[in-house]
Amino acid sequence: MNNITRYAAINTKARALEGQLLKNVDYIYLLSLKSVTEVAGYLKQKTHYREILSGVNENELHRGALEVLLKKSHMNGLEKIAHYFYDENKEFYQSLFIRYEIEDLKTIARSITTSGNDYLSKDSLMYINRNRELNLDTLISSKSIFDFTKNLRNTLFYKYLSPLIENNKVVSLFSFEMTLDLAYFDLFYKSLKSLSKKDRLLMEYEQGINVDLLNIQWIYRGLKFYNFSPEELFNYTIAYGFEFNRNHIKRFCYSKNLDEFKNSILKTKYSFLFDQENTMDIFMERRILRYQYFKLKKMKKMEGMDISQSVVYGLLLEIEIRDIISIIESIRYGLPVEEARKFLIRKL
Amino acid sequence: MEMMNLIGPIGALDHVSMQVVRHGYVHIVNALNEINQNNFTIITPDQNTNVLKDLSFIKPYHKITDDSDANDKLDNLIEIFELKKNIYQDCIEEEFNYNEIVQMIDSIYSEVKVDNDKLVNSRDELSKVVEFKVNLEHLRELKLDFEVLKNLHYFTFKIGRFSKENYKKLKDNVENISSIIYEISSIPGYHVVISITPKVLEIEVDRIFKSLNYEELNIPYNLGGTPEDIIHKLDEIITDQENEIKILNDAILKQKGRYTVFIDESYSRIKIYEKAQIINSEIACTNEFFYMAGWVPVSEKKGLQESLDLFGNSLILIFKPKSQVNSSIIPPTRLKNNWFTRPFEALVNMYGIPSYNELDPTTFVAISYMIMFGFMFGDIGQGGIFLLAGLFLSIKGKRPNLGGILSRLGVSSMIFGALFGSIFGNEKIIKPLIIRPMENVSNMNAILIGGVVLGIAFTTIGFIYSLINAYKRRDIENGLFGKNGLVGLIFYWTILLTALNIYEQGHTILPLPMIISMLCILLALMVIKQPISNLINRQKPLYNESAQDYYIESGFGVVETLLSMLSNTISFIRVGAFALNHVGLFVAFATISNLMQNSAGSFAVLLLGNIIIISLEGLIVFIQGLRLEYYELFSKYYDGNGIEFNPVRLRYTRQRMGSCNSNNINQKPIKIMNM
Repeated sequence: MNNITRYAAINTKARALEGQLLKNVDYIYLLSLKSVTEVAGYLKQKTHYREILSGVNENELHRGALEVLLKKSHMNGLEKIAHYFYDENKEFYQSLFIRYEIEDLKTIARSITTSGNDYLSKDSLMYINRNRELNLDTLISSKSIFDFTKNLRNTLFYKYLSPLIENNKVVSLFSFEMTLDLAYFDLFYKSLKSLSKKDRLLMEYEQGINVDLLNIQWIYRGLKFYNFSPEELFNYTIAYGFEFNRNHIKRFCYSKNLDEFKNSILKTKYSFLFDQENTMDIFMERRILRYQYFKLKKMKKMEGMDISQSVVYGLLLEIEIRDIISIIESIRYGLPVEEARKFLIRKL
Repeated sequence: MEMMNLIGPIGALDHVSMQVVRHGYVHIVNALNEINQNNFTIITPDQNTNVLKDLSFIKPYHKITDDSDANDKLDNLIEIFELKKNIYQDCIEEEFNYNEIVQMIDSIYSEVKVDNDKLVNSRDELSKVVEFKVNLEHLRELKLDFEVLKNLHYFTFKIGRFSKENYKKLKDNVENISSIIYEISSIPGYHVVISITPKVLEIEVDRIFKSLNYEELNIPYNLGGTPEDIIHKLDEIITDQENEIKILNDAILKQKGRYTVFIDESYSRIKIYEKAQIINSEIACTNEFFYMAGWVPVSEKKGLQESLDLFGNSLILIFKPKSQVNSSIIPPTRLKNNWFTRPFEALVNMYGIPSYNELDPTTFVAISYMIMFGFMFGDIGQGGIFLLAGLFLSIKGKRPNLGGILSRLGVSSMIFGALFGSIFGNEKIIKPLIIRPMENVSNMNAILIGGVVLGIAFTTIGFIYSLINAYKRRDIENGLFGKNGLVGLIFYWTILLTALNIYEQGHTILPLPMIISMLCILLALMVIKQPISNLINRQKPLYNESAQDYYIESGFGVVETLLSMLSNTISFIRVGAFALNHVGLFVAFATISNLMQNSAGSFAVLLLGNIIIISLEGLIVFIQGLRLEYYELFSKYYDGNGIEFNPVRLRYTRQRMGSCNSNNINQKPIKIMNM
């Protein structure tokens, strides 16, 4: 009964919003278009993006601006759902926004280290703008990652970042990004404490799979492309996986070579990553996302009277937007339709 | 309310706006909107036509410079000096030069900031040193010489810390890390460790530590010796630091003494400047002139003219009565109620702000609500408690509306308590001035009927309000022929009087068929109210929608009228019912208390009973009364679609500061650009 009063309304809303998401026919049609303007026009007339595109003239819209609008649509979707939460769940849902704030911070950090930060569009940093504690202009005008970290003094990220600047004059982009990513997972798992037991287990499951896959991807890349010592590899893994505990991860990190690692993964439920004949690295990320996409659809089908429905909607929306952006980019770069399809997360 | 339009040279904008804020009675509207809707009167022939120049280039006003900087600096200074934020009346009344103030703030800020930063740094240093000391305390018994450890030939010695999560990762993989790690203390969130690493493996281990965000602590090894020695030396350093901090603190106090007056003044002045910017955000401007528009109460027109006098001829100020303004623009409503009825404005505003040309229902609400509440909750003692609670809230608790309402309801309750003879529920102590509600059946009936009679009286007054409001709106359709209008009133009273006659005398004064036909005629008038009023006004078309739709709607409307008249009147029985309820509830507690053996128990039960009655019954009666007001009465005559009168003004917290920087108040007009 308690769950019904909590989740009935929000699940209905999530369901209604999900009904508006694009269908396969939309994607097939979009793939066949020839320009960004046509894509924007279709989105504006036939899909739920008409809301965000209503005041916009699609003929004057170029790719970057369209991507910013899509991102804004995503944020609006999350906020629509967040609006329904109250009490402890509200805290948890707000923590989902932290992930996108961190993405924005990483974008700013990258633009600081490459000297051309005039290309940074303030509009695209909407999650940081949403956060009252942060002043976007100060952050963007930081001269180095060191200064940038100092400017984050008043945020909850600072306690993770402060060791980076304590005894060093220079902070590398790599350690900055890694620290923020690990900070995200820490914050996420802390925020689970406020959920009911059933919800917590569901979220641990959902995020745990994500963590497992990210760890696999990290170790794979570390072994194949970079010269990390196994200890360092281990130190940068995320601690809260679902399938793999610390010992498993340790063993993976200490694999003698790439093939040994691949073989150990083939024995797990994530074997799909390496069991095809033709597994090009360029598709690894898409393969991971597609796995998660199908997992999300399964969770959606279960229609549980719990927190999963609202979280699943947010992630499905994100995947939809990623796919649309993939299509836009493939149009922009003249990729033939058959090639472009392979990069979509959903299977057409 | 009249609409005021103000034009002036743009150089004087800030001063003019501040003067408007000081006047405090102008409700600003967006000038560009007004101009676009042709509501802005530009000139009369005998005035300067320069203002028409560039009119086509009119645009909204944007502040060129950003001075949120000065605001932040001032806030910082107030924080550093630990001052209170007060707004002083004499400071805001005077003219001042904003740019000068900003410059002064800048210079004071840079001066103070230097010292303050030093102070903050010293404090940080001190806390770090104290932290080292705390960490070293754990090693006190160690008779090792740190100097020796630091200078080992083949090993590196470090003291540092890891966050809890990272320390866990370290422990998970410790067998693969080529370093000896020894935890010496754990403070919240961190583990402090000593690490000894072979020099040849130092680089690797450093990278591993870096990936765990290791923070090396700056232990002053140059102090040399065993932990014990270092601790002693740290104590000396701590004393030194504390002295230094004291000196810096004194310096800041001296500065505080010098600048407090200016900062207090500036705070008030910046606040009024900010309010002026609120006005500025709604004005339109060209390169030379600004255009401001707003509503002013007629009584305050003269005051505004006088305030703006000191700008002389450079300003053009025009007033337009509401009739000359586009009828789609609604003037804001300013409520003027006396001290007695003012708290009830909050109840009215909950439903909606009175529309501009409506009668303010607050007085009626105040009186009717007090009577109903008193009737339903009549008790001297319990009313007294409400009175005290209300007084407390409005004086100490800073909630004048809620407190005001409670105290007035308390008084009403006490009056009715005297009428019904009840103190804290006990009806044996004093004699009632009218009747005891539950003494016998006929009293009870009297009370119930009393409630209905009250309801009829209020409903009739509601009708009268409705008629007056309709007259103000010149609304014939609803005012004459509507169910809340004249026809409705006559219908209502006819039925009432007929029913009364039949009940009392068994027959009616006029023959029954005549009465019934009169009623039917009245109903028919209600049905055709729209076409008739359109006929009278000579307005075509007669029906706003198709005739068929109209009559179906009207027909149902009539049925609804009949039903609602009945139910609205009977609804007021609840006033009597709750009065009886009140007594009945206490009877229950009295019975229980009589069953008690000892008098302490009885008293406790009575006390509990009173508390429950006050809270439960009080809340219920409050809500029921409100429901009767909103649903039975407001729906008859009250529209509530007004806009609240919200003038831009600055409320000061203190009257005089005494030493405000002194240009005299009535000075010569500000020098403005030549026209």
